[in-house]
Amino acid sequence: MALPSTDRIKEILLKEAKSAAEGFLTSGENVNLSSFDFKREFEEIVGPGIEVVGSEFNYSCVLEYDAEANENILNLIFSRFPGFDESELPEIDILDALGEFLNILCGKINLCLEKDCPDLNIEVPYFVYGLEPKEDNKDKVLSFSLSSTELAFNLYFYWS
Amino acid sequence: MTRILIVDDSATQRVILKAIILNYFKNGGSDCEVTECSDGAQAMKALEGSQYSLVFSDINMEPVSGIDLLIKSKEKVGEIPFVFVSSHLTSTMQEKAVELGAKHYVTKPLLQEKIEPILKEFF
Repeated sequence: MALPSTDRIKEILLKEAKSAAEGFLTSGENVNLSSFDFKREFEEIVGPGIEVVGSEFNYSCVLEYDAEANENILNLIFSRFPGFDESELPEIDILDALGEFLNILCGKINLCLEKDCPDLNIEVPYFVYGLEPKEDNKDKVLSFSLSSTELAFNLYFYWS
Repeated sequence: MTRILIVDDSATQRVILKAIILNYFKNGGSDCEVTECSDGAQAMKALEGSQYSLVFSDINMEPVSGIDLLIKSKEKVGEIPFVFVSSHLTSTMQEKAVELGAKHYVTKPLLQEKIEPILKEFF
């Protein structure tokens, strides 16, 4: 089994994160995605996260967002469905909504990696307080800025 | 009245799918009752208690997966058309779904253009 290189992971993420965001977070093809140098403390990063576990390759994704924009994010996700009943909005929490985005993103990533890593399993999303890359894998962290006219996130991806 | 069951452990996905379904029936001038369940075990009880024309089910759920739900529902209440929705459909899962008799499988994100053609096929 050939494990994916850093360049391959970056290439997949740049393609699939944009596609997942355009399909789930916004209604238009107006999402910008670019990588940026990671210079922050791991402990500072908080947000919905998800782990994907396989026998040879594991990875995690964390989506950092502005907590004050909760309602705006949920409105963006649901406003394009004409049958949506706004009274249901309070029933939906931001972790579930953004966790689903991460779920969709990881599904797309796993399909790209299916030949090399066929046994990847997506775990249940949870709220992450600080990234936790393993000690010997601290260089295996990629960070992306994900934005459109309506929203902005930082996406972190690390693997072992 | 048409009755459709949605099974997904994500409230977000249930609300989106319900909105698409209700909008489809509203535009067609007919009524539809949608029941939501957050896991396969709850869905099995719903299927035993009422008759449904169509089931949209996620696959990866605890403690009863969408695949297990389809198998159990066949045993206990007979054939009901199933449509699987999932964020990660490997070719193995797709083969398994077809082998078990699922009518369709849809990859998330759930969008009107993916769901409405399926609804048209049944209603």
